[in-house]
Amino acid sequence: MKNAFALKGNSDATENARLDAIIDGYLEAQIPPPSPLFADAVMAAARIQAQKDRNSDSLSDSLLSRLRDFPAITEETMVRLAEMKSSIGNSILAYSSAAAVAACAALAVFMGTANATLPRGVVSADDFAQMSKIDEEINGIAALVIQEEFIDLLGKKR
Amino acid sequence: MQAKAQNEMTRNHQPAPFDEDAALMFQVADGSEHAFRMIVEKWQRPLMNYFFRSCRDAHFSEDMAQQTFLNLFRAREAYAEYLSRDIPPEKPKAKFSTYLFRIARNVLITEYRKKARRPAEAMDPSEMEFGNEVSESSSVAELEEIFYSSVERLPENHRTAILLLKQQQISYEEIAEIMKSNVQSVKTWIHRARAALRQALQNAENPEKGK
Repeated sequence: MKNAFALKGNSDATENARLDAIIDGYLEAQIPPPSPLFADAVMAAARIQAQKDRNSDSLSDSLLSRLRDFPAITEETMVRLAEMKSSIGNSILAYSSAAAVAACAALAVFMGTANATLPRGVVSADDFAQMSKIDEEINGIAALVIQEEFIDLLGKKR
Repeated sequence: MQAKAQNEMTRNHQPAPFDEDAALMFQVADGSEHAFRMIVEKWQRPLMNYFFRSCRDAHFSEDMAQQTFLNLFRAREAYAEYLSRDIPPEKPKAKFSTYLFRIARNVLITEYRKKARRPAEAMDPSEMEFGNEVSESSSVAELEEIFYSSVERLPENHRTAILLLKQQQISYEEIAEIMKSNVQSVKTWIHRARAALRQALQNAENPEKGK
Protein backbone atom coordinates (compact mmCIF):
# COMPACT_ATOMS: atom_id res chain seq x y z
CA MET A 1 0.00 0.00 0.00
CA LYS A 2 2.83 2.34 1.00
CA ASN A 3 4.65 1.49 -2.22
CA ALA A 4 1.51 2.25 -4.22
CA PHE A 5 1.31 5.73 -2.69
CA ALA A 6 5.00 6.31 -3.38
CA LEU A 7 4.55 5.18 -6.98
CA LYS A 8 1.54 7.49 -7.40
CA GLY A 9 3.53 10.38 -5.89
CA ASN A 10 6.41 9.78 -8.30
CA SER A 11 4.11 9.62 -11.27
CA ASP A 12 2.36 12.87 -10.21
CA ALA A 13 5.72 14.59 -9.81
CA THR A 14 6.83 13.44 -13.25
CA GLU A 15 3.56 14.61 -14.80
CA ASN A 16 3.83 17.99 -13.05
CA ALA A 17 7.41 18.39 -14.23
CA ARG A 18 6.32 17.65 -17.81
CA LEU A 19 3.47 20.18 -17.62
CA ASP A 20 5.71 22.77 -15.94
CA ALA A 21 8.18 22.49 -18.79
CA ILE A 22 5.36 23.21 -21.27
CA ILE A 23 4.11 26.11 -19.14
CA ASP A 24 7.59 27.66 -18.84
CA GLY A 25 8.18 27.25 -22.56
CA TYR A 26 4.96 29.07 -23.43
CA LEU A 27 5.43 31.81 -20.83
CA GLU A 28 9.00 32.52 -21.90
CA ALA A 29 8.12 32.63 -25.61
CA GLN A 30 8.61 36.11 -27.09
CA ILE A 31 5.91 37.77 -29.10
CA PRO A 32 6.80 39.56 -32.36
CA PRO A 33 8.30 43.04 -31.82
CA PRO A 34 5.98 46.06 -31.83
CA SER A 35 5.57 48.03 -35.03
CA PRO A 36 8.64 50.06 -36.09
CA LEU A 37 6.65 53.27 -35.60
CA PHE A 38 5.88 52.46 -31.97
CA ALA A 39 8.89 54.30 -30.51
CA ASP A 40 8.18 57.31 -32.76
CA ALA A 41 4.57 57.42 -31.55
CA VAL A 42 5.71 57.31 -27.91
CA MET A 43 8.27 60.07 -28.54
CA ALA A 44 5.63 62.24 -30.22
CA ALA A 45 3.30 61.79 -27.23
CA ALA A 46 6.17 62.62 -24.87
CA ARG A 47 6.96 65.81 -26.83
CA ILE A 48 3.33 66.94 -26.50
CA GLN A 49 3.48 66.18 -22.78
CA ALA A 50 6.73 68.14 -22.41
CA GLN A 51 5.12 71.11 -24.16
CA LYS A 52 2.10 70.90 -21.81
CA ASP A 53 4.50 70.83 -18.84
CA ARG A 54 6.28 73.93 -20.13
CA ASN A 55 2.94 75.73 -20.56
CA SER A 56 1.90 74.73 -17.04
CA ASP A 57 5.22 76.01 -15.72
CA SER A 58 4.83 79.38 -17.39
CA LEU A 59 1.23 79.69 -16.15
CA SER A 60 2.22 78.90 -12.57
CA ASP A 61 5.23 81.24 -12.82
CA SER A 62 2.93 83.98 -14.05
CA LEU A 63 0.54 83.34 -11.14
CA LEU A 64 3.46 83.46 -8.74
CA SER A 65 4.76 86.72 -10.14
CA ARG A 66 1.30 88.28 -9.79
CA LEU A 67 1.14 87.23 -6.17
CA ARG A 68 4.24 89.33 -5.54
CA ASP A 69 2.10 92.44 -6.11
CA PHE A 70 0.30 91.82 -2.82
CA PRO A 71 2.03 93.25 0.22
CA ALA A 72 0.39 90.57 2.42
CA ILE A 73 2.25 87.81 0.56
CA THR A 74 5.50 87.36 2.40
CA GLU A 75 8.74 86.03 1.00
CA GLU A 76 8.20 82.94 3.13
CA THR A 77 4.86 82.20 1.41
CA MET A 78 6.47 82.66 -1.99
CA VAL A 79 9.21 80.19 -1.07
CA ARG A 80 6.63 77.67 0.14
CA LEU A 81 4.62 78.01 -3.05
CA ALA A 82 7.76 77.60 -5.13
CA GLU A 83 8.58 74.42 -3.17
CA MET A 84 5.07 73.10 -3.71
CA LYS A 85 5.45 73.62 -7.43
CA SER A 86 8.07 70.88 -7.66
CA SER A 87 6.51 68.55 -5.11
CA ILE A 88 3.13 68.36 -6.81
CA GLY A 89 4.74 67.71 -10.15
CA ASN A 90 3.03 69.23 -13.13
CA SER A 91 -0.53 69.40 -11.92
CA ILE A 92 -1.28 73.00 -12.70
CA LEU A 93 -4.81 72.62 -11.37
CA ALA A 94 -3.69 71.62 -7.88
CA TYR A 95 -0.97 74.21 -7.94
CA SER A 96 -3.28 76.94 -9.20
CA SER A 97 -5.83 76.14 -6.51
CA ALA A 98 -3.14 76.47 -3.84
CA ALA A 99 -1.98 79.74 -5.37
CA ALA A 100 -5.60 80.90 -5.59
CA VAL A 101 -6.17 80.15 -1.90
CA ALA A 102 -3.03 82.12 -1.06
CA ALA A 103 -4.19 84.97 -3.30
CA CYS A 104 -7.68 84.98 -1.72
CA ALA A 105 -6.15 85.14 1.74
CA ALA A 106 -3.82 87.93 0.67
CA LEU A 107 -6.64 89.86 -0.98
CA ALA A 108 -8.82 89.54 2.14
CA VAL A 109 -6.00 90.74 4.40
CA PHE A 110 -5.12 93.56 2.03
CA MET A 111 -8.72 94.74 1.67
CA GLY A 112 -9.25 94.43 5.42
CA THR A 113 -6.14 96.46 6.10
CA ALA A 114 -7.14 99.05 3.51
CA ASN A 115 -10.68 99.40 4.90
CA ALA A 116 -9.59 99.57 8.50
CA THR A 117 -6.72 101.97 8.23
CA LEU A 118 -7.21 104.06 5.14
CA PRO A 119 -9.86 106.68 4.44
CA ARG A 120 -12.28 106.02 1.55
CA GLY A 121 -10.83 106.72 -1.85
CA VAL A 122 -7.20 105.94 -0.98
CA VAL A 123 -7.32 102.76 -3.13
CA SER A 124 -6.85 104.14 -6.61
CA ALA A 125 -9.11 103.24 -9.55
CA ASP A 126 -6.19 101.43 -11.19
CA ASP A 127 -5.49 99.37 -8.08
CA PHE A 128 -9.17 98.56 -7.75
CA ALA A 129 -9.40 97.49 -11.40
CA GLN A 130 -6.35 95.28 -10.97
CA MET A 131 -7.80 93.72 -7.82
CA SER A 132 -11.10 93.07 -9.59
CA LYS A 133 -9.28 91.40 -12.47
CA ILE A 134 -7.35 89.17 -10.12
CA ASP A 135 -10.56 88.36 -8.26
CA GLU A 136 -12.16 87.27 -11.55
CA GLU A 137 -9.18 85.06 -12.34
CA ILE A 138 -9.39 83.50 -8.90
CA ASN A 139 -13.07 82.80 -9.45
CA GLY A 140 -12.23 81.21 -12.79
CA ILE A 141 -9.66 78.94 -11.17
CA ALA A 142 -12.07 78.08 -8.36
CA ALA A 143 -14.67 77.06 -10.95
CA LEU A 144 -12.12 74.79 -12.59
CA VAL A 145 -11.22 73.21 -9.26
CA ILE A 146 -14.89 72.61 -8.43
CA GLN A 147 -15.44 71.12 -11.88
CA GLU A 148 -12.47 68.78 -11.42
CA GLU A 149 -13.73 67.71 -7.97
CA PHE A 150 -17.14 67.06 -9.47
CA ILE A 151 -15.72 64.89 -12.25
CA ASP A 152 -13.65 62.97 -9.70
CA LEU A 153 -16.74 62.40 -7.59
CA LEU A 154 -18.68 61.11 -10.58
CA GLY A 155 -15.77 58.81 -11.44
CA LYS A 156 -15.74 57.37 -7.91
CA LYS A 157 -19.49 56.77 -7.90
CA ARG A 158 -19.32 54.79 -11.15
CA MET B 1 25.09 77.79 -21.18
CA GLN B 2 24.62 78.74 -17.56
CA ALA B 3 21.60 76.43 -17.27
CA LYS B 4 23.60 73.58 -18.79
CA ALA B 5 26.43 74.13 -16.33
CA GLN B 6 23.91 74.17 -13.50
CA ASN B 7 22.41 70.88 -14.73
CA GLU B 8 25.86 69.32 -14.84
CA MET B 9 26.52 70.54 -11.33
CA THR B 10 23.19 69.15 -10.06
CA ARG B 11 23.90 65.82 -11.69
CA ASN B 12 27.36 65.66 -10.12
CA HIS B 13 25.83 66.17 -6.72
CA GLN B 14 23.31 63.38 -7.18
CA PRO B 15 24.14 60.00 -5.67
CA ALA B 16 25.33 57.26 -8.00
CA PRO B 17 22.32 56.05 -9.95
CA PHE B 18 21.00 52.63 -9.02
CA ASP B 19 21.24 51.17 -12.50
CA GLU B 20 21.83 52.13 -16.12
CA ASP B 21 18.16 52.93 -16.72
CA ALA B 22 18.00 55.07 -13.60
CA ALA B 23 20.95 57.04 -14.98
CA LEU B 24 19.03 57.52 -18.21
CA MET B 25 16.02 58.73 -16.22
CA PHE B 26 18.19 61.48 -14.69
CA GLN B 27 18.95 62.61 -18.23
CA VAL B 28 15.26 62.43 -19.17
CA ALA B 29 14.47 64.64 -16.18
CA ASP B 30 17.12 67.05 -17.51
CA GLY B 31 15.25 67.17 -20.82
CA SER B 32 17.10 64.57 -22.91
CA GLU B 33 14.86 63.12 -25.61
CA HIS B 34 17.60 60.75 -26.70
CA ALA B 35 17.74 59.15 -23.22
CA PHE B 36 14.00 58.62 -23.23
CA ARG B 37 14.13 57.01 -26.67
CA MET B 38 16.82 54.63 -25.40
CA ILE B 39 14.53 53.61 -22.54
CA VAL B 40 11.57 53.15 -24.90
CA GLU B 41 13.60 51.05 -27.31
CA LYS B 42 15.00 48.87 -24.55
CA TRP B 43 11.76 48.24 -22.68
CA GLN B 44 9.11 48.24 -25.42
CA ARG B 45 9.37 44.52 -26.05
CA PRO B 46 9.29 43.34 -22.41
CA LEU B 47 6.28 45.58 -21.84
CA MET B 48 4.53 44.36 -24.98
CA ASN B 49 5.17 40.75 -23.88
CA TYR B 50 3.66 41.43 -20.49
CA PHE B 51 0.59 43.18 -21.89
CA PHE B 52 0.05 40.79 -24.77
CA ARG B 53 0.06 37.73 -22.51
CA SER B 54 -2.46 39.50 -20.31
CA CYS B 55 -4.97 40.47 -23.00
CA ARG B 56 -3.92 38.76 -26.28
CA ASP B 57 -4.70 41.86 -28.28
CA ALA B 58 -1.72 43.41 -30.09
CA HIS B 59 -3.29 46.86 -30.57
CA PHE B 60 -4.54 47.06 -27.01
CA SER B 61 -1.08 45.95 -25.82
CA GLU B 62 0.58 48.71 -27.84
CA ASP B 63 -1.83 51.27 -26.43
CA MET B 64 -1.11 50.14 -22.89
CA ALA B 65 2.66 50.08 -23.48
CA GLN B 66 2.46 53.62 -24.87
CA GLN B 67 0.41 54.74 -21.86
CA THR B 68 3.00 53.18 -19.54
CA PHE B 69 5.84 55.10 -21.21
CA LEU B 70 3.83 58.30 -21.10
CA ASN B 71 3.12 57.85 -17.38
CA LEU B 72 6.82 57.17 -16.86
CA PHE B 73 7.68 60.35 -18.75
CA ARG B 74 5.21 62.36 -16.65
CA ALA B 75 6.86 60.98 -13.51
CA ARG B 76 10.41 61.73 -14.72
CA GLU B 77 11.10 64.52 -12.27
CA ALA B 78 9.48 62.74 -9.34
CA TYR B 79 11.52 59.61 -10.11
CA ALA B 80 14.79 61.56 -10.36
CA GLU B 81 13.96 63.25 -7.07
CA TYR B 82 13.23 59.84 -5.48
CA LEU B 83 16.62 58.57 -6.66
CA SER B 84 18.38 61.63 -5.24
CA ARG B 85 16.69 61.27 -1.86
CA ASP B 86 18.66 59.97 1.11
CA ILE B 87 17.23 56.58 2.00
CA PRO B 88 18.53 54.33 4.80
CA PRO B 89 20.81 51.57 3.50
CA GLU B 90 18.58 48.85 5.00
CA LYS B 91 15.82 49.96 2.65
CA PRO B 92 17.50 50.17 -0.76
CA LYS B 93 15.95 52.08 -3.61
CA ALA B 94 13.74 50.23 -6.06
CA LYS B 95 15.23 49.20 -9.38
CA PHE B 96 14.03 50.91 -12.54
CA SER B 97 12.30 47.71 -13.67
CA THR B 98 10.32 47.64 -10.41
CA TYR B 99 9.16 51.20 -11.04
CA LEU B 100 8.32 50.53 -14.68
CA PHE B 101 6.36 47.35 -14.07
CA ARG B 102 4.47 48.93 -11.21
CA ILE B 103 3.32 51.62 -13.65
CA ALA B 104 2.56 48.93 -16.25
CA ARG B 105 0.44 46.93 -13.82
CA ASN B 106 -1.49 50.03 -12.82
CA VAL B 107 -2.14 50.80 -16.48
CA LEU B 108 -3.33 47.24 -17.07
CA ILE B 109 -5.71 47.29 -14.10
CA THR B 110 -7.05 50.74 -15.02
CA GLU B 111 -7.59 49.77 -18.66
CA TYR B 112 -9.31 46.54 -17.68
CA ARG B 113 -11.62 48.42 -15.38
CA LYS B 114 -12.36 50.94 -18.12
CA LYS B 115 -13.15 48.26 -20.60
CA ALA B 116 -15.12 46.35 -17.99
CA ARG B 117 -14.08 43.20 -19.70
CA ARG B 118 -13.72 41.56 -16.36
CA PRO B 119 -13.34 43.01 -12.88
CA ALA B 120 -9.73 42.59 -11.73
CA GLU B 121 -9.10 39.49 -9.63
CA ALA B 122 -12.72 38.40 -9.84
CA MET B 123 -12.35 35.27 -11.90
CA ASP B 124 -11.97 31.97 -10.09
CA PRO B 125 -9.72 29.64 -12.12
CA SER B 126 -12.00 26.73 -11.24
CA GLU B 127 -14.73 28.42 -13.29
CA MET B 128 -12.75 27.96 -16.47
CA GLU B 129 -14.23 25.54 -18.96
CA PHE B 130 -12.23 23.97 -21.70
CA GLY B 131 -13.82 20.59 -22.36
CA ASN B 132 -16.35 21.81 -24.89
CA GLU B 133 -13.86 23.80 -26.89
CA VAL B 134 -11.30 21.06 -27.36
CA SER B 135 -11.29 18.15 -29.72
CA GLU B 136 -9.76 14.88 -28.57
CA SER B 137 -6.59 15.31 -30.55
CA SER B 138 -5.59 18.88 -29.83
CA SER B 139 -3.01 20.13 -32.23
CA VAL B 140 -0.06 22.13 -30.96
CA ALA B 141 -1.69 25.35 -32.16
CA GLU B 142 -4.90 24.52 -30.32
CA LEU B 143 -2.96 23.66 -27.18
CA GLU B 144 -1.14 26.98 -27.44
CA GLU B 145 -4.43 28.80 -27.92
CA ILE B 146 -5.96 27.09 -24.90
CA PHE B 147 -2.87 27.78 -22.82
CA TYR B 148 -2.76 31.52 -23.55
CA SER B 149 -6.49 31.83 -23.12
CA SER B 150 -6.13 30.26 -19.66
CA VAL B 151 -3.29 32.66 -18.85
CA GLU B 152 -5.58 35.52 -19.79
CA ARG B 153 -8.34 34.13 -17.56
CA LEU B 154 -6.15 33.84 -14.49
CA PRO B 155 -6.92 36.32 -11.70
CA GLU B 156 -4.91 39.46 -12.38
CA ASN B 157 -2.52 39.04 -9.44
CA HIS B 158 -1.82 35.36 -10.23
CA ARG B 159 -1.17 36.17 -13.89
CA THR B 160 1.02 39.19 -13.23
CA ALA B 161 3.09 37.29 -10.65
CA ILE B 162 3.80 34.30 -12.93
CA LEU B 163 4.46 36.51 -15.98
CA LEU B 164 6.92 38.69 -14.09
CA LEU B 165 8.71 35.61 -12.76
CA LYS B 166 8.92 33.49 -15.90
CA GLN B 167 8.66 36.00 -18.73
CA GLN B 168 10.55 38.95 -17.24
CA GLN B 169 12.85 36.87 -14.99
CA ILE B 170 12.17 39.18 -12.04
CA SER B 171 12.95 37.98 -8.50
CA TYR B 172 10.24 37.17 -5.94
CA GLU B 173 11.35 40.14 -3.82
CA GLU B 174 11.06 42.54 -6.72
CA ILE B 175 7.68 41.11 -7.76
CA ALA B 176 6.45 41.65 -4.20
CA GLU B 177 7.58 45.26 -4.43
CA ILE B 178 5.94 45.78 -7.83
CA MET B 179 2.68 44.29 -6.58
CA LYS B 180 2.87 46.01 -3.19
CA SER B 181 2.69 42.68 -1.40
CA ASN B 182 5.03 40.20 0.30
CA VAL B 183 7.13 37.33 -0.98
CA GLN B 184 4.92 34.67 0.63
CA SER B 185 1.80 35.94 -1.14
CA VAL B 186 3.67 36.13 -4.44
CA LYS B 187 4.78 32.50 -4.05
CA THR B 188 1.19 31.48 -3.28
CA TRP B 189 -0.15 33.29 -6.34
CA ILE B 190 2.47 31.71 -8.58
CA HIS B 191 1.73 28.27 -7.13
CA ARG B 192 -1.99 28.73 -7.79
CA ALA B 193 -1.38 30.08 -11.28
CA ARG B 194 0.78 27.08 -12.07
CA ALA B 195 -1.82 24.66 -10.69
CA ALA B 196 -4.56 26.28 -12.81
CA LEU B 197 -2.38 26.19 -15.93
CA ARG B 198 -1.43 22.54 -15.34
CA GLN B 199 -5.11 21.71 -14.99
CA ALA B 200 -5.92 23.60 -18.19
CA LEU B 201 -3.20 21.74 -20.11
CA GLN B 202 -4.33 18.38 -18.74
CA ASN B 203 -7.93 19.10 -19.73
CA ALA B 204 -6.81 20.16 -23.17
CA GLU B 205 -4.73 17.02 -23.68
CA ASN B 206 -7.36 14.74 -22.26
CA PRO B 207 -10.81 16.36 -22.33
CA GLU B 208 -12.65 13.27 -21.02
CA LYS B 209 -10.50 13.16 -17.88
CA GLY B 210 -11.07 16.83 -17.23
CA LYS B 211 -14.86 16.48 -17.15
